[in-house]
Amino acid sequence: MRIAIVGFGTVGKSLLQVLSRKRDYLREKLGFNFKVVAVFKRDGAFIDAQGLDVGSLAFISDYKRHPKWKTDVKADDAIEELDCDLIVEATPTKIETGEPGLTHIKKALESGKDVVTANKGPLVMAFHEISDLAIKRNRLLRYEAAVLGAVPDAGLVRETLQGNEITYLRGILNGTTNYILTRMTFEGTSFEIALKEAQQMGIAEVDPSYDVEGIDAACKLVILANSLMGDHVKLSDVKREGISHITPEAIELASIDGFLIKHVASIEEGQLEVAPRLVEKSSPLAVGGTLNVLSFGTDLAGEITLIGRGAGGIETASAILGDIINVAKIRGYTKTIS
Amino acid sequence: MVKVEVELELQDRPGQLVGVLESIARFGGNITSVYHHRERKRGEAVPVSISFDVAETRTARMIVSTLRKLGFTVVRAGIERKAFDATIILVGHVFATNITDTIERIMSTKAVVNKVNARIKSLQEVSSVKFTIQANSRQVLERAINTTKTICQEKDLRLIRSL
Repeated sequence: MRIAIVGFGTVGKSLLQVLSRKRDYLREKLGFNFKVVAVFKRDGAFIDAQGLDVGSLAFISDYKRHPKWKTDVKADDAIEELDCDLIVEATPTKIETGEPGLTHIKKALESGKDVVTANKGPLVMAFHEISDLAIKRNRLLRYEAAVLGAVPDAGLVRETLQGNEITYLRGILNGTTNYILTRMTFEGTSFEIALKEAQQMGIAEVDPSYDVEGIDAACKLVILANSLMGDHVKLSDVKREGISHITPEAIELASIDGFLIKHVASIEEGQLEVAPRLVEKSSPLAVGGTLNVLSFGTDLAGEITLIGRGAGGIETASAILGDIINVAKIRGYTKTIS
Repeated sequence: MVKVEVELELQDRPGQLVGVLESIARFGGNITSVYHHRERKRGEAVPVSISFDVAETRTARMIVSTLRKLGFTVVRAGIERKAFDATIILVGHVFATNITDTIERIMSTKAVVNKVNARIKSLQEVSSVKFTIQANSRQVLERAINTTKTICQEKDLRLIRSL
């Protein structure tokens, strides 16, 4: 299988690492052979129809000196003509437009390529448009990495729980806010101090509003609603409240009655909401640190709860790899396994 | 879930209480307390209060009528639907924006604010106030929460509600 990767940030590089690490394992266990024929960066691309050396590319420092580097080759212009089977979309997320990922995905599907995306933007903006396009072109679209990183929510619902309807959904979909609230709970610190600490540790961005105002969690909630529950909702349908007003006193008051304050994203009776909520300490949602959790109700299987790492390069690459293998199996690139 | 409290007059002899408890248990009642009011004993009759939980009001009534049919003297039977409750925390100038009015308006939905717990640093800073709200139906509880949301918007308070 010939793979092209669009995006050369943390996720793109982690994926190259993982692909290099797992090459022998995939060949021996699944009979799966692949070549990475292109890796697109914003200002150019590494291109080799014979397959790039993914191991060395992952740790490259002076990329412009790489023998396969071509300046000014843009993914936008190159995707359609590129001779490959699958495109991995891993460019940074722009929530306002879904671009440039949205165009990359559309062009890939239009030109007959399967798509694995780690990019939330296109899914938030145009989930039904691109999934309908994939169906129309008889292509596969996979997005396990886009929501909750390594946590296998999309695949679980698509494969294992097929036949079930999802009736409600609750979760902690952002590791940064969960980290901040966890620190406030156990150290009794203010929001400001916990945020500063998270920034120093690289858990929170310099501009933390995307996380602490609940925008990131709201985006993920929109994708979950549209993909897992078959809704047709947009970001503006989510009622959203951040955590910056949470006081250590409120956390202490909650604790007396056995509650934690958690930044919970929920879909209940058609209502989409991200807000600080009181969660019982014994609840499956009561996970600490940067962990993510997703709990959902099904009509047959009852309630299912998933807990895991929602962010991180290698964790996200794990989800992408799973999607790549899923596509490879369906397209017959692996040996038959019972 | 329904909470039931019955007061009976039992003859002060062995086997009386067992008969009552067996009847309750047979219908799936979960006995939570038994109390003998020996200080109020009149002749051979001892007042006994028994509390139990049972799934439905209908079952509770059946238990009480069965006890009567078996010849026990039921002096009083209180059947109370167990409350639906929610815990909320308000963050903001909860006192400066007339906390009495806030509570009265929540209670006007027929829900009861039965516990208030506050953390105040100074009157200039925001306070955090926890309310426990009880209602005898889910609808009333929802109405109380919706009223609280409206109040919070008006008074610029942040609402944190239990899941």
